Amino acid sequence: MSQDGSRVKEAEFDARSGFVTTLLKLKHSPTSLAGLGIIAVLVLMALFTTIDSFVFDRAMITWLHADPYAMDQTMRYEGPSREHPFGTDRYGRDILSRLIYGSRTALAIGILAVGISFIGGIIIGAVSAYFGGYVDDGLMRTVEVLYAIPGLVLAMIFMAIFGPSIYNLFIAYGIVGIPAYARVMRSEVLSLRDRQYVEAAKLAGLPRRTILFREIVPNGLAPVVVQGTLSMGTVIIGAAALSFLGFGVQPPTADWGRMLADGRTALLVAWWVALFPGIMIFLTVMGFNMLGDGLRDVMDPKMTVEDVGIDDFDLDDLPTEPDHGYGFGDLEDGGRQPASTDGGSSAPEGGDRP
Amino acid sequence: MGLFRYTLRRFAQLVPVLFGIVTLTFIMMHALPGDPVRLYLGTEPGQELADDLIESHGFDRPLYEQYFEHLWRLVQGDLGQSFVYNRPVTDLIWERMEPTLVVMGLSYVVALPVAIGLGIYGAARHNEAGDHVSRFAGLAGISTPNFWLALMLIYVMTYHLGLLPASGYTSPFVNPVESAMLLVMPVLTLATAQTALLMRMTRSSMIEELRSEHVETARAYGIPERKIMVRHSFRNALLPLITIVGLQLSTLLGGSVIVEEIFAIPGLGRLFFDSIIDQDYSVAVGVTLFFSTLFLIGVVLTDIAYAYIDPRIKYD
Repeated sequence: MSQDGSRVKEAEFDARSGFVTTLLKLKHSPTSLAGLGIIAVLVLMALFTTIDSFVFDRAMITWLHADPYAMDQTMRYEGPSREHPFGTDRYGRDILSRLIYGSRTALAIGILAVGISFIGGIIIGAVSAYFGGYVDDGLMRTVEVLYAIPGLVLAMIFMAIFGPSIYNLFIAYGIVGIPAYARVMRSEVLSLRDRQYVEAAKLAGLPRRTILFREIVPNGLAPVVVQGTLSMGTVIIGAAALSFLGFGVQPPTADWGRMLADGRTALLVAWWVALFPGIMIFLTVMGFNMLGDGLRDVMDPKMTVEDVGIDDFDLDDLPTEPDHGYGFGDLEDGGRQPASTDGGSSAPEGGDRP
Repeated sequence: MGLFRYTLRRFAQLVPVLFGIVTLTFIMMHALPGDPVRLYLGTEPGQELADDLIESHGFDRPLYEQYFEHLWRLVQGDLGQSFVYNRPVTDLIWERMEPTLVVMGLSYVVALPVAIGLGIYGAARHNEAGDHVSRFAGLAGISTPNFWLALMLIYVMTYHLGLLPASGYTSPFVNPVESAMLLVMPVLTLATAQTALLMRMTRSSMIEELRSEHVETARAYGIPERKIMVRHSFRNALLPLITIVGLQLSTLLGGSVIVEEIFAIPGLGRLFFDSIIDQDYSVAVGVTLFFSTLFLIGVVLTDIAYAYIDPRIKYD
């Protein structure tokens, strides 16, 4: 009995250290490092903005460059110059400082919306796969209903019901994202729930909730994390699209999508109003996609050394033999195997078949 | 035989999902703010007129009765009445369908060959300079916001070069030349992210395929690499692409809302956008229902195509 207990812990330990070594492999992938760099700059910008607006009341950015909210009617639609490197908008506000302030909005929407989908998707997917039967049917049909409505359409209706505001934007995209995570998590749990360490945990008398969320879910998190990184970009673009159409962030809050909407009306007279916010969105999304791509490559055991660009490579990194379901090798590799049951693919791109 | 029963079963499986969507859209219709009666009659409605309208539409009856009535009408193919256009929603959808289908269809026509070509090129030149370039281009493609791309295209093509008209729509069946000029930018806008995504899928599934045992065997037999590409791996590598093409319908339908708004194309996306702005909710809900049904049918059709092409699929 005690032996079983220790084995459970060992499996858990293995899985976790596997996760960390996977992350460390990222340092051999220049693309993901570049992505990480972009994200780091954005996070710094957002942190600066947060401190600046709450503690110093925009004094810091005004001292460094210009106040993002200060209007100056004599400076309407000024082109890029030494004083305003990215020009000014309709109200004579400096675009560069508004772009910096917009980073906070974009990251907040991305992180909070992805957080909602992440947690919601994990719970729904895990419960659905573990309990099976009617629970599975009911939950999965509900998820399919959400999945069948185009994301932007669903989000627009949500915003029309609850009113355009940044908080509703988090929730709208959080809900829109749930199906993708639920599907990935479900196929992971399906492939893990009959593992020996799960049997061991059952024999040890652990409650079902503990088995599910402490033993199974952590081992199936990797693809969900990849999904999260990759969908960060989708969410940021989607939220910007809603703000662009007038359903998201409301003026005067500095937001890239909103700025693009202003740029659209001024396209003929002031190209800079539309150009720079778009570049910011592009760079942000590119950063997350580059990181997500690298993460998926190092986490996918089917990929070999040259794909990831790992140069100092040892045999331990080689994928183990495919699991034929004989039950061996589960404890040795910590239960981390590619999910391939149930027709689901572990590559989250584009989602799964409903 | 197996395939026929599989087809039937896949369509039967749609019924509960469709039922769920109908229920959800019914809830949405009643949760959306705004009063259709006031919208229809203007700001100062005579109470008698309003009462008439409320009674004729059954707005005074309990919700569950309205729900069953809604279901019964849907079964008969009636999506309700638009309060802004004062016409049946089905008529509006039918009228606005052509531009949306034309733009979406053309963007598939543009995206698929380019994506497959570049994807195979990337896989064949795996980890060489060409592959890195196409891989980076793919990442850039999926990271570009389409509404920004549309604005930049308009700025360069219309304002700067004066090559293309900025917005509008002419049916290609009426005036093909003018239509083509108007369609270039919308189609490019929709197709860019599409191409990038499909290219990435082609590339990765092709790389995987080129590593498989049957390809190794073919190499061992001394079959030239080009022939291996065309005969032994290309067809298998395309299989996952079929699924993605079906799933991407959802993104394209969502994208049509943005593209049709920017380029002033009178399609379904534009109809949806206007109906939300005008609080014409029977239209908004009708288009949502239509979009999701279209998407579900698309997914089932690609599943069936997949099962038909790939003999390994079990019809269970």
